[in-house]
Amino acid sequence: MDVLAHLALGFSTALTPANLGYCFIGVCLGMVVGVLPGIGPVTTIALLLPFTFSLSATSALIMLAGIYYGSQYGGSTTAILINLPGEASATVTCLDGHAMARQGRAGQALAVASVSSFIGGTLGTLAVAALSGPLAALASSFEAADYVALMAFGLALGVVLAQGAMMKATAMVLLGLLLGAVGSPTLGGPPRFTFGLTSLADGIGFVPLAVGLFGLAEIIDALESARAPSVMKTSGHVRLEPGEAKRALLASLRGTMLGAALGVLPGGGPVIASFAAYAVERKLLSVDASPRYGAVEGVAAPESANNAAAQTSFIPLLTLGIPSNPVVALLLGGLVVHGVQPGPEVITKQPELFWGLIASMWIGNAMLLAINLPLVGLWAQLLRVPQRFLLPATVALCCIGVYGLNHNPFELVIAAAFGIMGYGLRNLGCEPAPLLLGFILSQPIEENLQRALSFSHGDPTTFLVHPRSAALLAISIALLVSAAKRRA
Amino acid sequence: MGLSCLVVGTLAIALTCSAEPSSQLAMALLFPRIVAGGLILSGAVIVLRAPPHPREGVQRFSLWPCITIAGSLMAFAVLIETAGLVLATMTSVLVVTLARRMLSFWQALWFAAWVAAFVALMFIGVLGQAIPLVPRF
Repeated sequence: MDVLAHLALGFSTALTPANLGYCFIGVCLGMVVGVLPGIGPVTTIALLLPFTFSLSATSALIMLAGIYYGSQYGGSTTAILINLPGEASATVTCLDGHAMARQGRAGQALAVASVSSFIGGTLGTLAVAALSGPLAALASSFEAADYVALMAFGLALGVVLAQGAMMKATAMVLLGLLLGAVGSPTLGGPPRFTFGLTSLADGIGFVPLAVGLFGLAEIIDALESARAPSVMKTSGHVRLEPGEAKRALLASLRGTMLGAALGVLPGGGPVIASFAAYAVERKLLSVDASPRYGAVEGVAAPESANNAAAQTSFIPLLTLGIPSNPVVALLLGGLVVHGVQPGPEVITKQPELFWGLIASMWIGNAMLLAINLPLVGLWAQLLRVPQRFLLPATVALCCIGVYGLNHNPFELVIAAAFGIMGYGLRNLGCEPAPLLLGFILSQPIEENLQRALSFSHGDPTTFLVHPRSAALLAISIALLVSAAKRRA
Repeated sequence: MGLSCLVVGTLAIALTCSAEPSSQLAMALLFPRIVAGGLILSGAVIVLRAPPHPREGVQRFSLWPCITIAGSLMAFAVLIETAGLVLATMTSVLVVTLARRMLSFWQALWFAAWVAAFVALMFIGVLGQAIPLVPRF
């Protein structure tokens, strides 16, 4: 009953004309981002974060969240049409989705992707509404040592699930933690690593770092190499063969359950969810069926899984203040900039924000379904936007976005430095996402570490005495060791 | 990569060791020291596990796009408070177009003017940012 009353509050917040407008802008931008290969939601949210500073926290979160789950919808379009995933989470959709397109069933594949995404998104939103309350109640009983262990667990998962060498991902997390330690500590003390620069006394800004590492690095990469995918013609026919609709629906439900569960885990998210859902469908398909034969299950399951995971990844963010993946880490940074400290108190102290976001997710998913099906052809046209116009305009937006935050030209220097660093890291085979995760969690980890040590009079065994923190640390170590053994 | 981690970690340790000892300071420097120690350790492991030919798996580093992007941001940083948003944005766009032969000079100038007009309308007109539009004399 409480959930219904809260949802009513959420809908009254989300259905205001302004919030409906921001939700629409967010999902449309997300769709565009998902369709364009190379520009992911991390880059877009990093670029658009400064635009939201003049909005209220609720409106900003509704718009940014719309970009996130909208990109999960759009990512499948290029995967199906040109075998090029617009989003990492749509990678497995290429296999059967593009096979369907080659068979002249592109319209059906796109329709299955849209409807499955809607099912995953809607049921995922339900999971957020149902599970956030109990999880927040559990989080309220967490002590400082438990929080440190929980964040260490999130970082360990970030390392394990990162692409490439595990040691490099570990180094990236540590580098992010160190960058997050620049400036004055929140619990008091002199500024660190500022080299006498007063601009660094408050630490490195999240926006210049994110815009540099993701946005500018992406642009430098694109300037170096030109990508020119060829678009194949899509048929407008969307009706499925008899029996296929039922198979697609069942696969969507399986994918949704798996995606919703994996999205909640720190370090999890849409990418892992889609791969896991596809793996399950391959096991369930008949033995003589090739994984690339164009089965609707191969499109429905990963698409529903990645959308469900995109929704449920908000649960650890809003209840524990722990980002489960880099996009959510960016949203966490955005919330902090707006003066909202994510954690269990968000639900009780800012119910409009929390339930407004949940209601907007439902509305956003319905909007996506309504605009996705008729506009499939138009989204494909976006692939033809010439880079010679797109790149300089994006750099100009990066400049004004970074400067507009604090009107401090020094932040542009920081953004440029992180842009070059991000490009260098890519060339060295290092993923910048774990760095961002470390940077975001640096301050809360340090804060809770200091608190835990103060409470225990400097005794480091406090982390082993608390059963929850000991268990979480043991799981983190076990995860890292097993992943290292697997990759060796 | 490993060497960079070793250098950054060692530098961080050195910087935190040079401070005067006090209980508040010790607490403030504890976390960076732990992280820097971890960074040195991971850097050492990366170096020890590095392949015999260190260039393997490392892509070519193109300097020119980095210079133009950094130059574009620097130009914006220098010009924004003196020359105003329009000139800063136009210069920034023109510098980026130098990265690759994207557009002819006149095309670039026309496009830069268009982008400047858009950002001026968006940021000053719609979002009401207190940024000077034109040079201050």
